[in-house]
Amino acid sequence: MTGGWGFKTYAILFIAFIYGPVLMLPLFSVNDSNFATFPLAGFTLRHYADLWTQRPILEALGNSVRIAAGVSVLATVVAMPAAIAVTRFRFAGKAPALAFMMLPLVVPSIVMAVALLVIVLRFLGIPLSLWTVAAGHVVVCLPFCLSVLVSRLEGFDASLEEASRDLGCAPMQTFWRLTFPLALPGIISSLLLGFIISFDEFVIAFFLTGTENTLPVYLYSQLRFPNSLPGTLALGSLILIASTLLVVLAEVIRRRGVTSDNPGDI
Amino acid sequence: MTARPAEAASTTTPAPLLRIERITKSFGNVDALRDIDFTIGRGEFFSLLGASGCGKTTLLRILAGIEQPTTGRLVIDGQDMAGVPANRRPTNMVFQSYAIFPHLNVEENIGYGLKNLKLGKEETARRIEEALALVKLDGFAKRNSHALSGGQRQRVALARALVMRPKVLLLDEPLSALDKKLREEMQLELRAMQRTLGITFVFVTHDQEEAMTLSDRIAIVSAGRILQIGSPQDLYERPAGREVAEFLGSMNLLPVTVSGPASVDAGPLGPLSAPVKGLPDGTPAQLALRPERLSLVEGEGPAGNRLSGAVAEAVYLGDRIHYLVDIPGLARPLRVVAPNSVAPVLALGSPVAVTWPDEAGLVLGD
Amino acid sequence: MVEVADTAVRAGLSGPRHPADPARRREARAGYGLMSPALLLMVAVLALPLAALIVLSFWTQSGFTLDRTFTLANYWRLIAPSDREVEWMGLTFRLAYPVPAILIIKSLVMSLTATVAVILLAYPMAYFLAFRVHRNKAAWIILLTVPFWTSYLLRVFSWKVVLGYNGAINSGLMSLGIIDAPLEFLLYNPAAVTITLAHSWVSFIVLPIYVSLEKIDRSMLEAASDLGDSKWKRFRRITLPLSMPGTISAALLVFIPTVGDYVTPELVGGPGGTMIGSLVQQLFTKQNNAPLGAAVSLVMMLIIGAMVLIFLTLIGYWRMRARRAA
Repeated sequence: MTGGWGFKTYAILFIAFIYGPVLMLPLFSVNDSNFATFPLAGFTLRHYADLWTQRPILEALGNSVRIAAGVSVLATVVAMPAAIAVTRFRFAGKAPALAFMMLPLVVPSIVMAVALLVIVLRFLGIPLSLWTVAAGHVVVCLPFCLSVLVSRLEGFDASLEEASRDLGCAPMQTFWRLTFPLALPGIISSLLLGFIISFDEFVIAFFLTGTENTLPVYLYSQLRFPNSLPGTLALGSLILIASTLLVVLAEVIRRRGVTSDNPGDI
Repeated sequence: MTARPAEAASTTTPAPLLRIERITKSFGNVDALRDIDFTIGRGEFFSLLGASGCGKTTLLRILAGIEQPTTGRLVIDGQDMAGVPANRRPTNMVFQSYAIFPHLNVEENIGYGLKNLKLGKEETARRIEEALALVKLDGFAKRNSHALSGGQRQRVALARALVMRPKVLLLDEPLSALDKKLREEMQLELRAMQRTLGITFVFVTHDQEEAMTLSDRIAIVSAGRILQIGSPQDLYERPAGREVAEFLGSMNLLPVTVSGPASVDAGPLGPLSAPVKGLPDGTPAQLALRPERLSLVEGEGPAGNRLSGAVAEAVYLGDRIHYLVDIPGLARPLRVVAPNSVAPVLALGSPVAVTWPDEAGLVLGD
Repeated sequence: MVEVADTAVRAGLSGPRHPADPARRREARAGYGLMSPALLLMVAVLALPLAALIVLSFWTQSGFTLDRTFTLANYWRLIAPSDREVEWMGLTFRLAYPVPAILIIKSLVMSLTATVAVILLAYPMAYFLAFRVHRNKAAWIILLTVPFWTSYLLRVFSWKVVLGYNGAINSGLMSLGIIDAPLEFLLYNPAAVTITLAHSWVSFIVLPIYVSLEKIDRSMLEAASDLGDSKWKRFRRITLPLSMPGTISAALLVFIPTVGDYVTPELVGGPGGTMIGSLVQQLFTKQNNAPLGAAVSLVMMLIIGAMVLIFLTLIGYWRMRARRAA
């Protein structure tokens, strides 16, 4: 095939472009130096060992995990019935309602952040806290969770649910005996994606957090101090590795579900 | 075309189990079903036959309770189905896609509905076993549903519905996804099964041969209306109108004008004899002639109903020969099916006469 | 991600139907019932805050006192003319307070550049994936998607590590003896911001484009060849137009959020690479003028919205004309 090599070379360069810069973080994090510079000075894990002695990091990590866990569960629980409505019901105004739920995708997060800041501080008079961060994160996650669930529910034939009704199951029974188990890979992947998005989100957390930090906010505060660079690199690498594992897991679960549950291709 | 077809014509009308009373269904501005009104008898094998998009599947889904009629009433075994959801109806359905639950194995699929009946473990197991035997899937109980062939999926879908012992079994083109040989085999099995179980079957299909093979009675559905209901023979021999006549089998139609109780005027072709029922003189009509009731004679032929022309096409099919005969004065050539006899196939262009007995002609009002 | 782009596109399709039928009404009630938790959440955490932002933009702040009388002063400030001329990139601004105007134009240009770069980079990759990769597609897709889901902050920060004064490129080139002193022009400028933005979004966009290419019926391509099209002609006449809608919605999903991006210009932009998001942040914090900040954010959103609408209308017009010509 002509141009086959051109395309292949391009693909390799493309992969190098999207991974290259990011891989600098783990590379320099094990470099025995206080600067992120070439030539490499030798292998060390001491930057990682130092992390565990720093209370602020551990506290921020705890905050982030708690927020992300709560946010992913709430966003998924709210998105699931909405996804059923989108895929299984016909009604006027569905498209605008769906568009409204997808809106966070196209509202810059800084606008969302300041809007929440305004209503929380100036209109409601609530002090900023991790709760306000979580509220913002739920909305950011919703379009993603909704999309994953909608595509999962579309992946199987609506006549399955009709068959379940026909065989005597009331709507709730149909949900638990049929829809839920079939949608499970999508639900798990929605939970994982929600977790990652919230865990990595910075701008909204930066504006809406009170005295407590999330991990990205802590990390950002450290970025401007050159002498904390090695620790930042190590922490960043850990975050990258963790989210990569979660994403791969989410994708693998979702894809495996899709291929094995399509009865159409006999 | 009659909205309420005369059912008196059919030979047997068993006690009605399903009463469909003036049902209409619209999707927005589109009328999917218009004024559907008929009954289906207990133990009948009843088919809804029509082209795709004619509304037959919608009607079936209304019977199942998956769709709600816009107006009208449905009574099953004396019980009004208004407000009765699909899960509480005495009907079960075999879906066109089979809708086999992908996360369950064969046994779990068949037992899916039984769980709702709360029969107890032993009875449930017994019924599943019975159902498996009925559809000849013994030994497949633990088979993963992904590992089933098309025919096996169809059997599971059938067993899953039958195991519920419905009063009415609804089948939505259940054989359309199977290849021809398997389909013919399943037709025989379905028919035998229905006879043994005595369950009322309502069968949706677009395949006229299938409908005729299987059914006690057939309803011909077109554009949301029922054109005619009757036994396969009724529909074939005595179609109520031109549409039915053309839908079932092949039919030659000649434009004529009624000229007497047993004669029509075919314009340039001259007068022809045919029994006329209920059409006054002077009415424009169609003379319908089945190709297999026509005979071909070389040359002039005997007196009586006779049209002279020339062979325009001859297709040799082994057991029979299909001819197209050009008749001067007729826009479309006549189709004639001749049984294969020792006589040689007529050459193209041979002068022939097409003849038929009076009673083979059917005069249909426009 | 595919689903996201797909669902976003879906939202624009299919209109209302069947209002009268009682069964339909029941279905509508059930549908809204199921959607209501999500809708309520969206109203509470997105719509109401945006409404509050709008209200605030009509108030004024001086020092620590907030004046709640309705006024258009904040909006007027953004366009109030003045005799003083300010030059920026060859453009002359006669505004009393030209910063927001300049920053909005700059942000739009930078984000547009990044969007075009993203599409140009992603399209061949998506094409390769759709037409040339036959085995392990899922693995490729995961490989291409994963970066998008890793921390945005860290992906941006990694460019600081790469391009910085003491960064990987400079130290690498120096240790190889190619340069004697660090190159200063790498970081802290609009180009660095644009490159970083493109890098951040390119892995988001490959998949939607890939899906729109994958959806093309292969027999159409065979038909085009059969009718005498060369490969390139076939691409131009069949593949490109058919993949256009997916590509355009993908482009919008990049363009809209990047205009208001905050992290990238803050980390790699330096004083020359600031964008409108940084101004909003400053107005809300250091400059303590939230009402003006609200007005700036809203004007930014309005301009983005207007640009998207004009763009979509133009495409609709262009397509209609193409169809009429055909």
